[in-house]
Amino acid sequence: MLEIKNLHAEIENEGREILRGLDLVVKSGEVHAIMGPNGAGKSTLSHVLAGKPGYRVTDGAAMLDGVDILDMDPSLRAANGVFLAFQYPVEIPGVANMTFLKAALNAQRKARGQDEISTPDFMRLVRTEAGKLKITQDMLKRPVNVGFSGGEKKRNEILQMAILQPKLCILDETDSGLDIDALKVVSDGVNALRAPNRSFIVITHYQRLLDHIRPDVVHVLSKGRIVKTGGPELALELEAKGYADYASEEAA
Amino acid sequence: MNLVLAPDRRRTKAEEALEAAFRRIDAELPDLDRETAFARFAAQGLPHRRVEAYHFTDLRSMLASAPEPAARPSLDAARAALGADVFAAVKPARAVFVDGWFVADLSDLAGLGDGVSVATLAATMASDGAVRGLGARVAPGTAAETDPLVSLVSAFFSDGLVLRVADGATMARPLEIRHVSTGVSASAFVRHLVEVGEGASATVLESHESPEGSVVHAHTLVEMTVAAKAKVTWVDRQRESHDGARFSTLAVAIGDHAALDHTVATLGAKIARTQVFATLGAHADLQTRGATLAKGRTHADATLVVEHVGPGATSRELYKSAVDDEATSVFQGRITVQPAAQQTDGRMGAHAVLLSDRAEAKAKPELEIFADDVACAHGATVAEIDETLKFYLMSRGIPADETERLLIHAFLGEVTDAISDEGVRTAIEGEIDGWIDARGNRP
Amino acid sequence: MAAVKETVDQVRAIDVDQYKYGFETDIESERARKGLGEDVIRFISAKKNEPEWMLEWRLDAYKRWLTMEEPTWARVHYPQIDFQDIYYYAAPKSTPGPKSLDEVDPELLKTYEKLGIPLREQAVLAGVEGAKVAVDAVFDSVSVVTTFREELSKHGIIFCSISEAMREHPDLVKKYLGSVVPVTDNYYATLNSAVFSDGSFVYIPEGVRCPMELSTYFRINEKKTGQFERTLIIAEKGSYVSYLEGCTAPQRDENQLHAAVVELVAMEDAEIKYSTVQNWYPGDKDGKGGIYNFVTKRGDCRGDRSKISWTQVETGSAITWKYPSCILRGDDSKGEFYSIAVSNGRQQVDSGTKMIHLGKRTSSRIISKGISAGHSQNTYRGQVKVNRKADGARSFTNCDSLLIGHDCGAHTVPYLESGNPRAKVEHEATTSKISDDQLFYCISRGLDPEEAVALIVNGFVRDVLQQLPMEFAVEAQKLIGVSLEGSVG
Repeated sequence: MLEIKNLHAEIENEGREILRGLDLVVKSGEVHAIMGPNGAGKSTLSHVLAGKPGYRVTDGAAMLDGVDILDMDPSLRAANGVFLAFQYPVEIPGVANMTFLKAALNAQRKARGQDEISTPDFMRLVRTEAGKLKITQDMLKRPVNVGFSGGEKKRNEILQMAILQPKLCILDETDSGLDIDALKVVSDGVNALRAPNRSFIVITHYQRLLDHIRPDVVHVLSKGRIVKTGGPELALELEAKGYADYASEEAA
Repeated sequence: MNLVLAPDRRRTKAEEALEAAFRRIDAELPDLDRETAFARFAAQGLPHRRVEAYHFTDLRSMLASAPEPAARPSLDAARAALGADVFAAVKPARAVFVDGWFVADLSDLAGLGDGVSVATLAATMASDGAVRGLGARVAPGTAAETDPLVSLVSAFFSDGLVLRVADGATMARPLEIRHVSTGVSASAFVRHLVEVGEGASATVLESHESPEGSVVHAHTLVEMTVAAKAKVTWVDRQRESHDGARFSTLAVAIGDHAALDHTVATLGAKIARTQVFATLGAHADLQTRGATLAKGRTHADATLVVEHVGPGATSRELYKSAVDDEATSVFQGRITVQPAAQQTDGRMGAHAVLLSDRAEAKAKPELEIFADDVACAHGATVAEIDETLKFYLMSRGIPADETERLLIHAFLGEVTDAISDEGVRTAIEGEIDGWIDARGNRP
Repeated sequence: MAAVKETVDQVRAIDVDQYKYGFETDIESERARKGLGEDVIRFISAKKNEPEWMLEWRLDAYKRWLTMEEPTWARVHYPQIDFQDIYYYAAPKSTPGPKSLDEVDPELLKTYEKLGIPLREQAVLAGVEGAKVAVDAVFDSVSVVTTFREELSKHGIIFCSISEAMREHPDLVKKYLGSVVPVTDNYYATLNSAVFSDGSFVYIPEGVRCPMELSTYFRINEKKTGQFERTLIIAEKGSYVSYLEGCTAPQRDENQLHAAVVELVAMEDAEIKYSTVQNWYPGDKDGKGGIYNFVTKRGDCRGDRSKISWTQVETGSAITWKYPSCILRGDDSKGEFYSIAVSNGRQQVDSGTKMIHLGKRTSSRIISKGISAGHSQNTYRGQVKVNRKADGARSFTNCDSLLIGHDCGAHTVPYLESGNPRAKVEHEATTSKISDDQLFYCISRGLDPEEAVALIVNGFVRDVLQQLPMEFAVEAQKLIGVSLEGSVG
């Protein structure tokens, strides 16, 4: 599914290298957790994969089903099945959540050569998925993320994921700012989406999210590279011992 | 009668043309005190950048000429000029002005309800002595009184509408005042009077258009009084030729506990200036919003002067512009709080997005406060469409060009969303979307 | 809290019309004839032993000034100024270029003592080591003495009066004088160019970080005298200087004119911090007397990554007309403007800034706090202009006004102009009174109303006070308290 080879990336304008030869292979249907100390480059990895402006890839490739996604613009990556659940989802005044979801879904369908979804089908789809995530009608009518609480924003991200049905889901610190109930709702939403043809990269600083979303593989990211890989037990070990062994230098 | 411009200065071509036109003023026009108005204009001439109120809109250098005032069109020509009505879905009563002249045969003023009277200004002048001295008398003591564009309409107007809503009356349906053009290169001057009585309510839709390619200088002045506890909804849609000029002024006095909800959408005109001069009585409420869409090499100016005279009044001003190509948008807005206007709550926002490398936006949001117990604020921004928002939308699969369309629509949506009537809102949104779509795909 | 307490004490200690700095110094002085003409300009130039080119420069400015009109766009009102009823040059007679403090008239030194300026080096040295301040004192028209010169010269720093600089460093003066504020910039700047009598000159060589604060104290002493000082500061590549300016004048019934010009030039990676505490006599409670303060201050961020920061605390003057500005020419250069303008009595303030973005990624930040009390009118007027080529420019303005009492006015007049889509210009402004809730909260915690107001006002201006060097911040805080005295019902 995803194969990252020797990925080097830096922050544009600053020229500071954050990812320094990162290698990672995620197979279909797998859930990979990426953990690491602050400044290891976890969020940078998610941003670079999604194509956020402000980073420069200086070397390496990220192949999604054999195609390098790094040259694609963000919308094309999305059409190819990449989805980033943001750590800080932005507010978009003036664009109703519903309108946004429909525009995104149809844009992706169009890019894949599919017909637009009919309005009744769309409404049904949204209502079903929103219900699972306890997202109210009111939240759907309001502008995207405007006036949402931290937990509501994260649930809204998972709703988008459920509607857009991506191949590769990247969850960037999805647990940050969530209380235990919200964490449960979000995790259940993610777990429900696990499927043989869908992979997850779960980026987190803490083990607690992994109690709810059980990973197949756990990686430790430090100073811009994967330095250790193991099973779920690795996460527990990190929880117990901390990141002292992987002390990071200053990085974003 | 001394009508010459100040002698120490050379006149511009436009000023010469206006002066010549004034000397030839048609005998058919209602006989009013036009001289005072023109003298007031002539004393200053066309305003220029050193005139603070026109700092960003230097009409002396921008107006290369001033076309002759339009003659009354034939009925056939007028009928031919009338295209589809943007507000048709609302089924409004309709007063039609073509080239600045009222055309009764194309108008439909029936069914406005009890207590609502509509007549032409010309007819009203003939019967109503109180209206006769109208020439120079526009909103005395306010910024409107000395405004040169107001003076020009006062000097040249061919006709207009007098709308009166009696105390306690409610208009049974909205009234649309439609201004169209036959496309002749000419100036049109229209002056409307609106009087909404105590506790009454009124909805007026103003529409302006001229065929692309025509060089029409269209001037409109609306003088309105909203008596105590009355409510008025006013929507103004302007879509002039990109070679023409549009000069609109709304001078309104909002009485105690009265409310005006005003929206203006400006698309088109090579030079557009939309002015709102409002005074607010005690506990009055003014909501005014503007959407400006400017493209090509055009200049669109929205100027507001909101004077809080009585205590406890609220005003909300929100003006947004999307500026493309080599266009310039200007916003000037002033909230003045007079000493007696304690507990004023005034908030003004002016925001522009620049959609091209050569687009420009200028803003001057002002607060002028003479009372201490107030809460007033303004905010202004000029920027391109937010990159973070763009990325967020694109990361969900929406292509760049559509992202931009969606975000422009959302940006202006804050203005249109507040239009309460769905039919009217849809009509204005349709115009805006048409403009956005016409930009084509430009990621 | 100590400072707040002091503010409150000040408020209590002083009567409405008692201007603390309103004493007059009895010193013989030498003046030019009253009024303005070529002869007066020649007189000034001769008195200063100026080179010929300087006299030509002045005469040229004078000719141009005669063709100009006084600006009227500011929101200030005053009777027509009779420019022939002013003395354009007044020098304390006993100071034909003092070489050391010993040569300075003791009366003058006493004046400065009363003003609390650490003029004597000994006095300063006796104090805290870190509080070293080099001072150039300007009395009416003439720079009296500059302290700490030797130590500064070790670093290659030139800090002297501008008339001395003209004689000793003519190439530098020729190169930079009028290069930021052109002779014909505006009516008052042109007048200044013709008649300026003295002021400070600072030159910081490449890579030098000025080891102490430099300071000028201005005082108008003579009757019917205008003060037209001229300051020029040049910071070469990678240098840094912090400059402080303080002003006072005696209490007089007539209005006195102050039309200064300040020019700053910052080359690559250089930084200039310019702080002003302006406390000219504001006139009495009926608006009689007071200084007309018509000042042109402008900085040119000429080099890439240069930075100019203006901080001002304006409490004095009958009329203030002043817009310290930055021309952001170098790429990545920064301009800042932090201002507190307090007006009371019949004072009129029209002040703000201009930020002109020319270079790429230039940024500007404007924080303005206006406080109006009494019958005063206080206007913020500011311009932010982004040139078509200024890709990535950023500008942020925050402008808050506070009204105390119902006979004053607070006005905000920003001009925003952007011609580059990749630039971002933001402006926000608020006007309010001190909220009853805040007052009540403070009072319920045991403060009396005046203390509460002082506390809240000090909180209101905190962002700006923090920009001032420590000693100045304390003085400024006191001044604000004194200026608002009597404003609380």
